Amino acid sequence: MAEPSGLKVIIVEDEPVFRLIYKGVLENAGYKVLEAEDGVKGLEMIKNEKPDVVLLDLILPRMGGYEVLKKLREDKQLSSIPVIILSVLGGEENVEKAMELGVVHYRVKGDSSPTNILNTIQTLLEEK
Amino acid sequence: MAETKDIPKHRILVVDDETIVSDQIKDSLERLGYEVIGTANTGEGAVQMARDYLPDLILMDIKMPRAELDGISASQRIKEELDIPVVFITAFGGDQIIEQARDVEAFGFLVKPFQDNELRATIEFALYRKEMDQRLRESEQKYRILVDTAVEAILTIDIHMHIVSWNRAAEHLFEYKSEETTGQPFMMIIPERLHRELQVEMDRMVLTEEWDPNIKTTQTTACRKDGEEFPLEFSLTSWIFKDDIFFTIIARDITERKKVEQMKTDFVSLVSHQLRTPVAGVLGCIDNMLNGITGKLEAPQIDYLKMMHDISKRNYHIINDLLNVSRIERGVVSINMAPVLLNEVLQVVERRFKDDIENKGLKFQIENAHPKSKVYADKDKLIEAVSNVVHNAYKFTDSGDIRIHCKTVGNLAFIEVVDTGPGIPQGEFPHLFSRDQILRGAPTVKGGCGLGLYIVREFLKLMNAEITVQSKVGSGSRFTVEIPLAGKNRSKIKS
Repeated sequence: MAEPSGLKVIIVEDEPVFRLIYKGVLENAGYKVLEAEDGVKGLEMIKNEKPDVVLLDLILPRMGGYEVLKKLREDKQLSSIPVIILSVLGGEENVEKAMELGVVHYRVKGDSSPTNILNTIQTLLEEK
Repeated sequence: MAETKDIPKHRILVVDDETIVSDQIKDSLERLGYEVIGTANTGEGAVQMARDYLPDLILMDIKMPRAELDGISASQRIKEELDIPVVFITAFGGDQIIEQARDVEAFGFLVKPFQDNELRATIEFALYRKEMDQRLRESEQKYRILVDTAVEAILTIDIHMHIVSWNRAAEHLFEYKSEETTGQPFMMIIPERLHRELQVEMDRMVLTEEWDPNIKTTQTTACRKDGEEFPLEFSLTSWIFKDDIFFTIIARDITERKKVEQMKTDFVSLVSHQLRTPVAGVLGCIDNMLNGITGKLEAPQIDYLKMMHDISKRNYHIINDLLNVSRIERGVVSINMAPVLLNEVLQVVERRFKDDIENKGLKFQIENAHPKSKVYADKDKLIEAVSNVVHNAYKFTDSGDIRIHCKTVGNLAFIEVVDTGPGIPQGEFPHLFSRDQILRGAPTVKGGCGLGLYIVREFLKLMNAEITVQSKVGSGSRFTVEIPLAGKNRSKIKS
């Protein structure tokens, strides 16, 4: 297992409860966690911090998740940062759209437990 | 109707080229209590007087050699122009004359010489027939007005599906004038791509013997003269008239109703999404607490949290079910068909339920007789369908085991989910897979919304698969999913 200490995760999420949950499980596993509560702040933070992984919600104030994704893909320095979508929305059309924008995983909140998300991140970073 | 003096006298015009005869008839009539408004001795004179005085009845001589118009021709003209009954008087009752009289629809026929009582009977009968004709015509008019002023389009078609009548609302709705449609095929108002499907549906509606408005009503898409399409609902009933079969179609534009229905499902969808967020949030919090992220927990705290977790999980399932139903109802379930390894489906189902089932003290067994078999399906939807069946088995079985058994026969794979639960009463079978379970307060609804099996059936239907049930009270249930194998009968699956 990769040693998470020092690995940086940015959570872009407007619902405080989900920030609390994912921050909790990730910090407990030794990750450094940064939070942004809207798309604009999230994008700015990703540019400045160059995290190892981004957890991105789709429905966000000011700038939606898809828009953030597009902006990341357009920026050469940021396009290789793996993004995991965490959404309350399931549905093939959403998954497909996100995958086309280069998302590595799409998880539906409630279907996937926080531990499950943690495992996904760990596996992802091991493969990297 | 009793004849009394108070009743206004019937006004009669007498036509005969011999004045002696007409005067005699006039006397007889007056004796009998009729009013003679005049006498004429030519056909032309008769037409003119009929126009001027509008008598209730005309007594008309047929042969008037000196006149330009004889009795038959004069009657013809009067019939065309005025609505006055004519009774012929003639000295000759020959076949030819009777035939001519019939051709101009005479109201009676008197052969000279005749008695007063014969005259009276003939006149009364003619007046009576006239009144009956009038009533019939009025009733027909009333019917026509009724049909024409109806808000709904009313059309009749014959056994060959050709339009026989078309009311004003139909003209308005389809933008075709009645004369443009008479004799035309009914399908002229239906887009061609739907013809075959609708024909089948209409045959079914006609053949059903039950007088159930739901069975006799259907929805389709219609198109107006300008090609604009709109959702149409119509009822279809058949009737027989003189050995010919006709159909009455009452149709209405349901664009507005469809909009409201759409708004309702969109609303359900929106609300479901918004409900998911807090439930998923609570679940995540409890997960973290149970995983020790918030510190060590005491045993009773763990019990409470597990209970909260169960309830939240159940709520989450219910919301998911509602969302799925909303998608099914809107017809927006996307299906991505591909060969799917049955074993992969089973693995996911096992992962989802193994812990829960075993924690309940039940045995969970999965057997797959042909581990390499692939079915042609949408993987997610198949997992969802099988999960729902297993979830039911889990909910209802308190002791014993739950077994999933897979086998292939011919072109089909069979996924059987067998439990040792209480079994299902035979009477519940027809309702098990319907969406009205929740409304019926059925005993088969437990810890859910009763929509699970409806979703299963609908998802499977979209994959060309089906589900059946065998069960007996006291000896468990067996649900069997029947699904085509990949690569063997693809053509059947193409939608």
